[in-house]
Amino acid sequence: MSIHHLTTRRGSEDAEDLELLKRVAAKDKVAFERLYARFYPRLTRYLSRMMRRPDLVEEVVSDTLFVVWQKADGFQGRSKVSTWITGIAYLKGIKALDKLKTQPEQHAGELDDNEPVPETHDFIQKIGLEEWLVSGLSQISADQRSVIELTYFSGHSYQEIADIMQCPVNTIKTRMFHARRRLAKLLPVLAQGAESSNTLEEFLQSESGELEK
Amino acid sequence: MTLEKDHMQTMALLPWYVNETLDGRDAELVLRHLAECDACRDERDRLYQLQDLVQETAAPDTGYKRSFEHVMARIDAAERDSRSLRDAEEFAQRRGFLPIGIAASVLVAVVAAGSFLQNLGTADQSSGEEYETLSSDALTAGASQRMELGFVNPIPAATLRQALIETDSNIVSGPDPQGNYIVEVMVPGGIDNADYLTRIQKIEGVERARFVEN
Repeated sequence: MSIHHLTTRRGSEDAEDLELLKRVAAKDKVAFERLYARFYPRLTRYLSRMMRRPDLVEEVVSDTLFVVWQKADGFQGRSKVSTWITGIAYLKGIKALDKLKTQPEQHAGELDDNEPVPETHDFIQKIGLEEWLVSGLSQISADQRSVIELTYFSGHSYQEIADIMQCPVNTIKTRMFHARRRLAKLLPVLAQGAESSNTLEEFLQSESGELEK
Repeated sequence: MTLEKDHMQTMALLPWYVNETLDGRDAELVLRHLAECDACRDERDRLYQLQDLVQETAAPDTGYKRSFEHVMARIDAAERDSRSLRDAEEFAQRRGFLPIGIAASVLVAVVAAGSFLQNLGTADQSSGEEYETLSSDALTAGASQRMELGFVNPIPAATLRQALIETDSNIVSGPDPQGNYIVEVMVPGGIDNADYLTRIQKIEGVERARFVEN
């Protein structure tokens, strides 16, 4: 179905995004600037958090929105417009990180939750919780940071995150589980929950039949 | 057994209970289980704290204008290149001489490759990173010059159409009766004309290349 025949019942924000995207598909540059202004802050925030490479973020954001301009007429309405655009940003960000061969990004499967992490409690008191979070997020994978950010900041459902990251929902739950467990070792307010959830991984594996960290 | 399963499912779903995106059976399950499980309520409270913390962290600078203008420059360049290629092909078809149409494609590819060589010549060597994107920075050094290009016959069909998106070069005129084109290229600063010409002449399909006066 052509984008020009699409409608949405996913709320007024998605309806506004869809109307703008339709005009972008018709090569309306005024609409493109409005869409750009709307998505630039949130994509910058998301990619900054996921990639942790401020020197690359702006370029990945502009690449993402360039693709939106080129491919707008191919949007089929299977998700929210914001989910579709964030999905492009995720793939661009991961691709950019993969190209950094001199500083490889650790993927979820390569992390070991039993690996010792730095003792940070004293450090936290000195630097404050915000710095702690930045520090803690640096010790989980880009995929796990993506799930944390899309859940707690962007407010996406697990199904939407699975659409963005193009993987099964149980993979999203598993990535969230590992991120929680690892962060819990670093943040006092989360620490008590870490050990009690040890069997959650086994449960998720039995639910999905997969073994992914 | 059901209680244990509900507990595990609730633990897995809690992040999305906290961000208020659960619905239907998921929401019912979590609400029912939270009413009877202290551990899950504690975990829920911890996740609320984590969510607050994530939301409180500072957002980066979000001025979009400069980025938007950069992307619009790319879009405009891509549209110009697309028009150049289309015009050249239509011209060739009007003349009923298909190989010249292919020559036009290769020609534009040559111009694109020339621009690519230029970018190599001016790239910041200090970063040492292999990261690249679709972007091409605005040309900041070098001189605009005209070049006459001729091609072997038959012309190889392979083209570098994708490179057109990355370039901002123009066909000035052509083909002449000998099949030569005049193009405008930007010779990068720091590369002398002879060296640049040598690189262009090494591109497959190019038989003749020389600078001409503007």
